[in-house]
Amino acid sequence: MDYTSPEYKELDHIATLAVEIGTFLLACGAHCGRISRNVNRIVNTWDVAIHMHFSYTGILVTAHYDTHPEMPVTIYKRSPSHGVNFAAINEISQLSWLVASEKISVDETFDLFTQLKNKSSYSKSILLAGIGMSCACLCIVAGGDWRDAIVAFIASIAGMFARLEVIRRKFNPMISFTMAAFVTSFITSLSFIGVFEPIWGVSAAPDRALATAVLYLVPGVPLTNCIIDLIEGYIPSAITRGVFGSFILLCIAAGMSISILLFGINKF
Amino acid sequence: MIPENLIFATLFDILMGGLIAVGWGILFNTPRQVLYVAALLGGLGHSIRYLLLEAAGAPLVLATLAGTVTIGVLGILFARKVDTPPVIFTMPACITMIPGMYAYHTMLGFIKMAGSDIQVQDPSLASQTAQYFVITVSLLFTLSIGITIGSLLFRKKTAREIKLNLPNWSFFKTK
Repeated sequence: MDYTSPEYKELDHIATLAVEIGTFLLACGAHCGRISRNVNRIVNTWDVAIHMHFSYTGILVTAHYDTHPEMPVTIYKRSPSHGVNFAAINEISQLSWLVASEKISVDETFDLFTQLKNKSSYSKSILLAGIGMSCACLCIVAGGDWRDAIVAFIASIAGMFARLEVIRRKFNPMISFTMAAFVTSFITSLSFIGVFEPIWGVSAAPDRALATAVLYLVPGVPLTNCIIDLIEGYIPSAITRGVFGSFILLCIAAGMSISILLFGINKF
Repeated sequence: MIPENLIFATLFDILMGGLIAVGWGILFNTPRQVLYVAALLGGLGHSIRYLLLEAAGAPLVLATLAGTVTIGVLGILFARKVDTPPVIFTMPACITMIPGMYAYHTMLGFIKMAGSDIQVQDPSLASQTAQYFVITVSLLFTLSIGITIGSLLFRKKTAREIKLNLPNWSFFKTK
């Protein structure tokens, strides 16, 4: 085998597939151990060994045939913008098992992968309803009554709506978190100072609504993946995920602080 | 809002945990077919934590760890039943126990610390805020341990290959 042979072209193709699948999984919120396992399972079918370097913004892959370790291919790709999508993680996992068991060729795998990339997700109204429901239930579990739950429901839906609007206008994602936290805590602060009391009387614990209505913004996936990566030994990726998640938390805190300071800190 | 009787309160907690897990599953785009698993595990884990806290008087972090580890281990069994990676439903289920109130109190403490005369008003503020911060971080750590329990206990194995020495329940057989 030399650098002009079709096998080397094929190896280039395989490395491209590996880096495409890897960055796609990274953007969908998979931890590095999962990405490594899935990609290894796929490329080992064609007797190729790979070495991967993970960061939060991209993946570096070196691939070589088991029989020719002296002729590797190295590719780096930036990851697309991050958005948690567990359905895609499930489908890539199924694809990797399919490739490993049925010995599918490289081109066919590429075709299957591009088909998977265009799957639709939940509609916007279901997403908003789900977020409102889980924030309202979190409020009840934390000790609020039905009035607090209704406030948390409305506030979280309004905040998520604001966040989707900010994202649609292509602002910085961090602005979207600050904006959503501000809108949500503004509505719950109104309940805190007693604006809704003429409607349904005094609620039990308005601070619970204020605390739990912003929980839909918490970057649970980056933060838990940070710990998982630390445990499994992917240190650079763990650090970047942790810093990213903490910064989102800081943005949420900034948005809440603005509305709390608007109403006056002594009331809270 | 939470019922007085412990049994009704636990059932109510299972319902609430399930609904929270479904909401998070929708946010994370968990496939429709396995949302019920997320709801089951979320309700179970959350109610185990509730029972340990209310009935047994266990410490908060320990109770949360018990809940998340239960979710993680059962998640491996369910992963084989519905043929998906376990993280798809263990992540929404574990996030039902997210420490919202503690994070809120930590943030409120930091904002109050930025005020000038706070040491005069409330001398215990700094230590109180530090305690809330430590609880928040340890609870977040505990959630991650629950999700990653599979790879902690069964290194280098996928959910399909793990063999748990359990009775041969027909429910958990692979297809």
